Amino acid sequence: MKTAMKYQWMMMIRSKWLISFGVLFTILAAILVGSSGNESFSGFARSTAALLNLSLLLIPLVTLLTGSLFLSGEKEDGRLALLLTYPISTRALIGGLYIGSFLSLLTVISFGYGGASIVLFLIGGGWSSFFFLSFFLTVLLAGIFLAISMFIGLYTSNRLQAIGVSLLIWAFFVLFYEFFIVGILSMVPKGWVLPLFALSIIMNPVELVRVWTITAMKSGTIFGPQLYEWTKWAESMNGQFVFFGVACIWMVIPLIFANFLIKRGNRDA
Amino acid sequence: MIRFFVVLAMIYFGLFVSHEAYAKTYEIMPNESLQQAIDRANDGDTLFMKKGIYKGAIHLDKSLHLVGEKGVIIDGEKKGNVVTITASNVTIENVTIRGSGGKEAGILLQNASQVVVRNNRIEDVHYGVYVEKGEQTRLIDNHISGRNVHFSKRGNGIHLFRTTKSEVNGNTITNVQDGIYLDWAKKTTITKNHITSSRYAIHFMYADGGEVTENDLTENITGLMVMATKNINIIKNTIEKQLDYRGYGVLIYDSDAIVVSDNELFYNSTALSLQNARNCVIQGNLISANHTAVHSLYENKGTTISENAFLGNVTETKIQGAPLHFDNGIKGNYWDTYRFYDLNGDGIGDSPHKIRSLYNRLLRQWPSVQFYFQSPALALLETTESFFTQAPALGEDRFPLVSSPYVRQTEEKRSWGLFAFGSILLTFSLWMFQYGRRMR
Repeated sequence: MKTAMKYQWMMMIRSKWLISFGVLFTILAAILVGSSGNESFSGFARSTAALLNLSLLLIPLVTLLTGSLFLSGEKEDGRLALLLTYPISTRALIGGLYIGSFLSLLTVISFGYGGASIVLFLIGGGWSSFFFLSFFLTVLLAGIFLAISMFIGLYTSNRLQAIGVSLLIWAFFVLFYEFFIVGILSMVPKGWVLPLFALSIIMNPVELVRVWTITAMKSGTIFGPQLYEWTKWAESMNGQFVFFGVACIWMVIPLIFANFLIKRGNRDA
Repeated sequence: MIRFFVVLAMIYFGLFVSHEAYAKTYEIMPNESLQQAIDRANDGDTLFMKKGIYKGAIHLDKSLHLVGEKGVIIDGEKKGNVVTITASNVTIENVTIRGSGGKEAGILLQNASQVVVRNNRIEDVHYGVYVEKGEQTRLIDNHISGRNVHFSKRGNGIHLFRTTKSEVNGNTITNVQDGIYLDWAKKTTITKNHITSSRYAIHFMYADGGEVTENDLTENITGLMVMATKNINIIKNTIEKQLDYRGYGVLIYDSDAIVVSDNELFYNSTALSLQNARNCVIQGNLISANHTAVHSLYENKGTTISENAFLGNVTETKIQGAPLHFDNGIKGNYWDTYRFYDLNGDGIGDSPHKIRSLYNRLLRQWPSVQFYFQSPALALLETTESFFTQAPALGEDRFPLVSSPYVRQTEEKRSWGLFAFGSILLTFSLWMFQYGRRMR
């Protein structure tokens, strides 16, 4: 498992792609926090929303692309077959690849948040607990989408397919999902609104992290009167634990499926 | 003739002396009955209460001056109103008043004018001070706190009913239903009060004329609720953190000629709501970091919103009624989202600031869309739409200011915690880069 992890980490951290993403993310985050440096308080304001949205848009995209491209590339070039000849279980292989990639992504996200914080410090901004929260949840979001991307990488047969599927999944989760839910909501009876929302949060990691961030900041009132009771619960300790639990499930399930894929591949081969 | 003057002088002198003789100061100990002392005293006397607890409600029907030493408590033992005042020219100061009956007041003023209630603590009561008719009541520097139950079961901190020219100044009010409730109370001056944890901090009902200045209204459901009222000036108040979804910083409902100027409306769920607010002037306020800055319903005839600074609000407007006037014909407001230039240098942007919002339109059709407030997809769609749209504007500022008319005083807030956070993350990531590159 350690070998696989080291291998993956080494390969990813040396990729120019990931480094350029790190720099881009830093610049965008710095511009966002820098241009709205006049508000420093721990609540949901426009600058907070902008930074959150930056994470929600970019992190899934980059994670999906890097994760799936690396794996499908390994597969296409035959290196995965080589790795599979190592005397390790498929579970250890998957785990190793996952942790290796995760460490690389963590490095890049740390770089982005670190750089943005220093810029904000230099222009005289104040500390807000939002930075830490946002950093933590962004890393978690990367963890979830990395797991999904590994499944995509193993499922698709070449790089081009991996890009296509990744983009499609990204667009679905980030762009279309909300309109889709609103569409359904406009058709169902009123009593279904709350369960449907709850389900929609569980079914989409982007929604999960968005709602989690806002409720963790105790700013759930922006969700409006219809969801008042639910928001109260979500802001409570229990609610926050449930968010964490669902996030863990989102990380584990794709990895289990990925493991299953490799095993099946082995049997076929 | 001379004799007449002498007699007159004697009468006058006699009166003067006798008056001197009347205005006595009595000291009262906690083991004596306060009510009996009041009954014994005459108009103009001063009762000086020594330290201790005085049990039982009292009734002041003479023009007395009631002063407490530090540590004086009048305990109503949860029966009726603790202090009832039915005479004019009463002053009550430096005492703690507690324990009113279920629906009664700490201090009840009935048909009493020129009463002064100063520097008292009023706690564990339904109403703090209930004023029923009377002129020129002065309520100054009191601390009023209600019971720790849901606000629908509490009374008001200060309740003014059919009063004129009352003055409410420097009070701290917390844990009540409405901080200051003005019911047909005319020409009231409300200054420098600090009101938190109430339903409405200040609530006007048919209470025409009056000034609300330099108050600090924080963490209530609604800060200022103005209903069916005319001619109020609301100036230089700080209205902060009214974050309940039902709440507003300032709500003006079915009212006329309300001036809201030079206030700071900061971090509320909705800073200002206009619902049938006629001929009102909203000017020179700092409206900053609210979820929604301006909300409107119905028709707000003749109301202008100008020379305000809109900074960092998540949504600037939520207009559900007729379009609003965001300028006074000469000057508009400063919007930090305004993206045009002032090439002729007159301080006014060369293109109007148009307020249109896809989110508003969606919200009207499907209230559930609120759940996706500022979500990535909606934010992206809204930005894209703002480049291409032909949708009618919900409001328009024809003369947007290019520099903020209002500067928020901020202290030095550079934080070393931020520096530490940033450097730890940067060091970590650079070390990881290095380690990863040198591996094997």
